[in-house]
Amino acid sequence: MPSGEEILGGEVQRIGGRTAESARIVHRGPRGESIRRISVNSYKEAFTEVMKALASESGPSPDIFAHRLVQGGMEFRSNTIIRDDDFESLELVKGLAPIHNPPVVEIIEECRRAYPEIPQAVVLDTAFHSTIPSYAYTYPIPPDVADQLGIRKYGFHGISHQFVTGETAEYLHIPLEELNVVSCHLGSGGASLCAVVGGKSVDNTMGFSPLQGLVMSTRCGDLDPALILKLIAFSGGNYSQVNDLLNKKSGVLGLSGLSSDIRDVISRATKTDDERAQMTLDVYLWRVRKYLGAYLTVVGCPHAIIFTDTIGESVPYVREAVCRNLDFFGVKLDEWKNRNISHYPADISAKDSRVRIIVVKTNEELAIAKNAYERFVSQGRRLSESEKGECLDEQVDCLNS
Amino acid sequence: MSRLIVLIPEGYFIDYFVYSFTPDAEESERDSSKTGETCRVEWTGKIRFRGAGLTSEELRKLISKYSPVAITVRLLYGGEEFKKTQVYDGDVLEKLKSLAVQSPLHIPPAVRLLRTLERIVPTPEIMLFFETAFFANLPLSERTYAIGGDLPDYYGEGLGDVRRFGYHGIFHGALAGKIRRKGIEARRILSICLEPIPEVAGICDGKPVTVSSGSTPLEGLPGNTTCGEIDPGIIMLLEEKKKWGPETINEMLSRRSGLTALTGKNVTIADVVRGDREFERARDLLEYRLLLSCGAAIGVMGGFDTVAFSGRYIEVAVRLAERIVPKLAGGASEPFLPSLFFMQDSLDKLIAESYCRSRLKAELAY
Repeated sequence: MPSGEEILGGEVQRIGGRTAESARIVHRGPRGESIRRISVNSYKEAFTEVMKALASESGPSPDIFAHRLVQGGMEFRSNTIIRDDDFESLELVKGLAPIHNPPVVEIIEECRRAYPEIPQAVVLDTAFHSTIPSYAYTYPIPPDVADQLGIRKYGFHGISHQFVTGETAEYLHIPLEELNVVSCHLGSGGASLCAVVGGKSVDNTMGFSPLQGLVMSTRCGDLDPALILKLIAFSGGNYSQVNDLLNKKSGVLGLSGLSSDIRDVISRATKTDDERAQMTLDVYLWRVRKYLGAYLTVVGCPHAIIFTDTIGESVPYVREAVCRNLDFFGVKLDEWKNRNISHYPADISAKDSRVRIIVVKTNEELAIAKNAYERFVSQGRRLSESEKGECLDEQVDCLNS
Repeated sequence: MSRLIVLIPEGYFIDYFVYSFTPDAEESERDSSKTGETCRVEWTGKIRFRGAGLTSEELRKLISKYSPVAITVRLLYGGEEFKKTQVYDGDVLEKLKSLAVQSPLHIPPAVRLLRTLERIVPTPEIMLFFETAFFANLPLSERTYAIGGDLPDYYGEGLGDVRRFGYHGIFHGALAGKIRRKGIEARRILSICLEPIPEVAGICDGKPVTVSSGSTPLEGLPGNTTCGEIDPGIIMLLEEKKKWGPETINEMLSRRSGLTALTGKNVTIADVVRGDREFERARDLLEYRLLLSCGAAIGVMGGFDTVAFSGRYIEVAVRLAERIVPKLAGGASEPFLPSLFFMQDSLDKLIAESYCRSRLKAELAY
C-alpha cells in the first residue's frame, strides 16, 4: 500500500436507540476530533451518517470499501473482493457470528445500493488461520455431524495476529516467511494466543467460536463439555440461560464479581487483600501461561513472543507475570524495559533472553485497509477491466491458496 | 503370607484381583535396598478374574475361598470429601451417598457394592481408593473454572463442587512415588497416563500442579470414544441446529467421538499409536493434543525433568515417546535430554502395593 497514514477516521457509537444515551458520531479529521449527536436506528443509517461526515471533508473519494467479517465459515476462507454471487454466501454466514456478522452484511448491502460503482472487500478475522493444519483444527466428533454443521476450529483475531506478526518481522529484520512467534492478543474484551510458524498461523486458542480458550472479560474460555451439559440439565434445558452465563456473565466478571476489566481486578488485588480479586487474577494469568507453554512447545524455539491489544500493550503487570519463570524456554523479561515503554514496537526482553519479547500496537483498521488493498490490486483491478469469466478463475485461485 | 482382594468396578463389570503379600517389615526393608521398593506384592497367578455383575453370593464365595485380610475398592470420584485413601465405615457410606448427585454413574453402583460387602461376615477391612484424591489439592488457579460465581443460586446445590479434578490419580500418584523412592532426580514430572481416556498431569515436587481432565474425565485429551476439550459454542450449536438434548449430546461426545470418530473404527489409543498409515490422521491429532497438554504443563511448571508413562496401553509408550519427547525437549532453549520412565504395573497391582505399603508403615510405627 502506498502509505499507511490515516486520512480520516471515526466511530459511530450506541447504534440502535435502545440505550440511555442517544447515538453519536466521533469524527477525526484534519481539524481534530468532533463528537456529534445523531439519530440512527440501524447500521445502515449509521453508515449513511459516516458517508455524510466524509463528504464534509475535502479529499479523495474512496476507491474501495473494506469490511471486517469476524467469521467467514466455509463460505469465505480468504479475504476477497465481493462479487454479485457472493451475496448469497453472505446471507449464509450471518448466523455464524450472530452478534458480529449481521450488521456487516447490512452495511455491505447498503454500500452496493448507494455506491454500486465502488468495489467492496471483506477481510476476515478467520483468514489468517486458514493455514492451521487439520490435526489442530479438527474436533474429534462424528465427522458426519462436523461436516454438516461446519464444526471445526476457525480461530479468531486473525487480522490482529497477522498484523503484529508482520510488524515484528520488520522490527526484527527477519523475513516474514522465516518468522516463528507466539502472538498474545490480550484485549479488554476477547483474548487469544496464536502460534505462528514461518509467518503462518498454525494454531489459535479460540476455536469454532470465540468462546474457547483463554479467560476473557465475560467469556469463560475452556470449560468441560460435560459440565456445560450438566448446567443445561440443571437449568431445565434452558440453553439460552447457559449460553448467556458462559458468554456474558463468566470470565473475569464472573470470577471477580467486581468488573469485567482485568485492570480493575489487578488494581484491587495489588492494593487490597481482596482474595476473590487475587484468585481471579491468578486464574486469568494461569490460563495464559498454560497456552503460552503449549504454543512455545508447538512452535519450538520461536524468535519472539508478541504482546498486543489493550491489555497486552498497556499492562506491564500482565506481561511480567506471564513471562515469569520461563527460562526453560529461553524467555527472560527485562523488568525496567517492561515498565518504561516509550514507543512501539518495544523489545522488553533481557539481553540474554533467547526469545525476544516484543510489545506491538495492533492496528486492525490499518490491517484491514492493507489486506483490502492487496486484494484490490491482485483481484479488483482485473474485475473492472476484464470479463467476469476470467475473474472467476482468479477467485478460485485465491480460495485454493 | 496374607491375601488381599482388589475390586475395580468399571461400568457394568467388577474386575477382581487376588494378591498375596508379605508385610514383613524386616524382609521388605532388606528388599528395598535393591529395588527401591519397600514392599512386594505378588499376584497369585491363576486367580485373576473379570466378573460381570458380582452377586452377593459370588462375593461371599470369593471371600470365603481366599479369606483376605482386606478388600480394596477403587472409586472413580471422591469429590472434595475424600482427599486420601479411606478406611470404610458407616460415616464414609453417608458421605459417599451425598456424592451420588455429582457422579450419578459411578457412586450409586459403588454404594451398592459396599453395602453388599459389609453384610458379609466376618467382614474384612475395606479400604477405598479414590482416583480424584491425588488431585484434591490442585492449585486454586488450576482447579477454578472461569464461570459465574453464583452458580448454586441458578442451578441448585446439587451441582456440587464445580472444579477441575484428575481421574487417573492412582497411576499418577504411584508413579510419582516410585520415581521418588528410586531416587531419580526429577523435580518436575510430565506424567502421561495411557488409558482409554488418556490424561497428562504436571507433577512438581510430588504434588500435581496441572492436569488435562476437568470436572469430569470428558474434558482434556480425546480418548478411544471421548471427544476431550471442545469449544463450548459447539454444544450450543448442536442444540440450535439439531435440537438435541443434553443426554443425546453427551452420548455422542462420550461414546461416539474421539479416535473412534476419527477412524470410523472401534479402535484404542494403542491401535492408533501402533498403526502406520491406516490411522495417521487420528495419530497426528492425538500426538498434537498430547503435545499441547504437555506444553501447558511445562508452561506452569517452568520446565520439566522427566517424562513418565503409565496406564494399560503402556506397551505403546516407547513408540509414543520416540515421537513426542524430542518435540517436548525441542521447546527448551538449551539442548537437553529429559529422563524417561515407564511404569508397567497394572492399576490393581498399584492399589495392592499401596495398600501393603500403608499397612507396613502402620506396623513399623507400631
